Amino acid sequence: MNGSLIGQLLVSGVCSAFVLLLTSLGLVIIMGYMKVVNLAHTEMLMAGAFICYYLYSVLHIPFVITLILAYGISFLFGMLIEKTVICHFYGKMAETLLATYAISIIMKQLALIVFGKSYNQVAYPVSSVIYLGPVYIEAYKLILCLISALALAGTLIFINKTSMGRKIRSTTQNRTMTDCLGIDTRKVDTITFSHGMGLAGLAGAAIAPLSTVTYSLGESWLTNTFMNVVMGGVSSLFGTVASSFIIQEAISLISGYSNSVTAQIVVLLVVIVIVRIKPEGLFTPKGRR
Amino acid sequence: MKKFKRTIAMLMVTAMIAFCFTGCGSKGGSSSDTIKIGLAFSLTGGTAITEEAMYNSAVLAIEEINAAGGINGKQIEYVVKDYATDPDTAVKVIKELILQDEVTAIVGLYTSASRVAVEPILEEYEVPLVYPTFYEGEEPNDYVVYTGCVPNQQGDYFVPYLFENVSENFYLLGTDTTYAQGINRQATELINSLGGNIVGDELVSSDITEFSDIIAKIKDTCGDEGCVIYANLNGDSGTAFYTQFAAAGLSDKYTIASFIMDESFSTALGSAAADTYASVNYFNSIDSEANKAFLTAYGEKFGEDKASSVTAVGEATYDAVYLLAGSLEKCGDDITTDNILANFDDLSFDAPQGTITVDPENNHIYCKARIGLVQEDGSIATIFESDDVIKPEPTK
Repeated sequence: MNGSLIGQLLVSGVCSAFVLLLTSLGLVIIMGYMKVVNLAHTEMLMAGAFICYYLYSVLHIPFVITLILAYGISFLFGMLIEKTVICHFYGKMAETLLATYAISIIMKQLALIVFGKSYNQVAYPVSSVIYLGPVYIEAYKLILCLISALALAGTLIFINKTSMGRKIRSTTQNRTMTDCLGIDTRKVDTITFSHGMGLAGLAGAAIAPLSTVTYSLGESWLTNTFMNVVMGGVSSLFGTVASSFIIQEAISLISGYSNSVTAQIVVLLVVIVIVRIKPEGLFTPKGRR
Repeated sequence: MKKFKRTIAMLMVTAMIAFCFTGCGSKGGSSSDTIKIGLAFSLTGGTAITEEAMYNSAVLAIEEINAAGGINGKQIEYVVKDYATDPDTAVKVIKELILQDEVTAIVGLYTSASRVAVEPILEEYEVPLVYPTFYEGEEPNDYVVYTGCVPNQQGDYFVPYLFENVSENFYLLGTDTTYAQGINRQATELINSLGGNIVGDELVSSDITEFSDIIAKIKDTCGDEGCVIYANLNGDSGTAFYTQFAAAGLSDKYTIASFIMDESFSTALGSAAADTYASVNYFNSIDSEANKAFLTAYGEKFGEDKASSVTAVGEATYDAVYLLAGSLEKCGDDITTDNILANFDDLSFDAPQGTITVDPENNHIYCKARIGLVQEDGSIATIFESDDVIKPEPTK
């Protein structure tokens, strides 16, 4: 055991935690506020990565604008999906599971047909490495942390400080009452779902440089994002933040001192125990149930 | 509106019935003027990117043989099935090829799991499979002809080369599969006999694309000494590792070497994979007439950009079809499974990689061992080539 390895693993863990937070934010919003289990979430990450590849690597649009466009395109796509499919399944969690699973298969196969079979690389927008003593951080990882924090802050402000956010919260609390007050809850649903999908697209675009962009990119995120949301509690953004850190720091440290398979097993066991003790997740909003 | 819906429904039913008939219509085995062979590749699924070059090469070889007059005047007819990187699906499609399409022989499969899964079916129905993938080696199956190389034609040359030219320290890393386990075991034996150090040995699950913890560990265990990262990681996991390793600025200090590095990886990764080592029996950059002819034909049919990412498994599939055709030609009019398999013995083909010969003892091929270095532009240059072809030892 030595200090520099612990330091390195902790720092890597923090970066990975922000990445996990970014990639699960859209999922937790759709699950928490709409009670829709969005299995198409990770395929939206894949689509976001492809948007990034085509806009940034092929058309050379600046990275920041690429991210904003990725959010915008995914938002519109989310709107289309909500208006055509999801809106028929509110209140039926099992059915949303099937419907979004079907959408995810369609998205993946379409990506295979449309984008073809090859590994596509997105270059790191910044490629420098920062050294803090013996500990290194890739500059792009810091930028990812920033994007993640901004996405979280933006979402919190949107939900808590805007009038649309207030409508979203009231719809979640009591749909009938909100309807009676003359608020178009259908529109609220569309906006919430589209925002969740938009965040997934943004996350996908942001993580594209970390690996290569392929139609199968979504698969590798499925377990971690869902585990994160289940552990954090579906109706709590703070819970997702906390569980992102717990999961990634644990994986990083255990994998650093043992191996990554053990790390995955241990973390999965911890999640099972937590869900057994607190079925609602780590953090649940106080109040009437 | 209602009437419109009904019309649509009627149309769909008609279409479905039509599809059923076309599905059954083409049933029947090889007729007197054609020979029917089956192709089984993952057109979808986790390894679809790798298997695209295999499928394309198979089709290219079949079309070339047909254009040159076929086999003893008979044209090759082929049926293609998608096994979607899934062993159970592989079993299903191989059964379909045998029972429904009544093919004479099958060329295909990439993953070891799918090959192992279909072997009992091949034995039951006595149909030969030509398996065109380099793999970890096994007790040869009587109904399988293997046209990829085995570890003794790769690692036996690769590990000593790295030991002498790069570093005596090795960090073994691989996807948790039979394949990576097998080659890491081989590497361990070789490194120990050479007197090198194994500083780490780790297998990761195939869905991992976040490597910062493992990279931190490599940096910590290898320290300032040089080190070979013997990394046999599959697909998305592999590309993620190369990308993040280069981004962490460690590629100057440590060198990645991998059996799995091929042109489909290197052309996509570009500078992130530059100066890493690869080892297989074929590289796209081989300078020979046969290889030039192969890649030109491939480029004309599938596009120039695709030709530069033809990999060893693609070339091995091209060889597989030609070897099968050679065997069928020797059978003459007496095409039976026993004859086909017997005629593979000592069969030679002037492949793009050089002349290869089927070893009658174990149905694997004699081929040269090669070591490659990935260039900045994504091509892989051959930096070592064995003087002669090497006998395959799949059970070593």
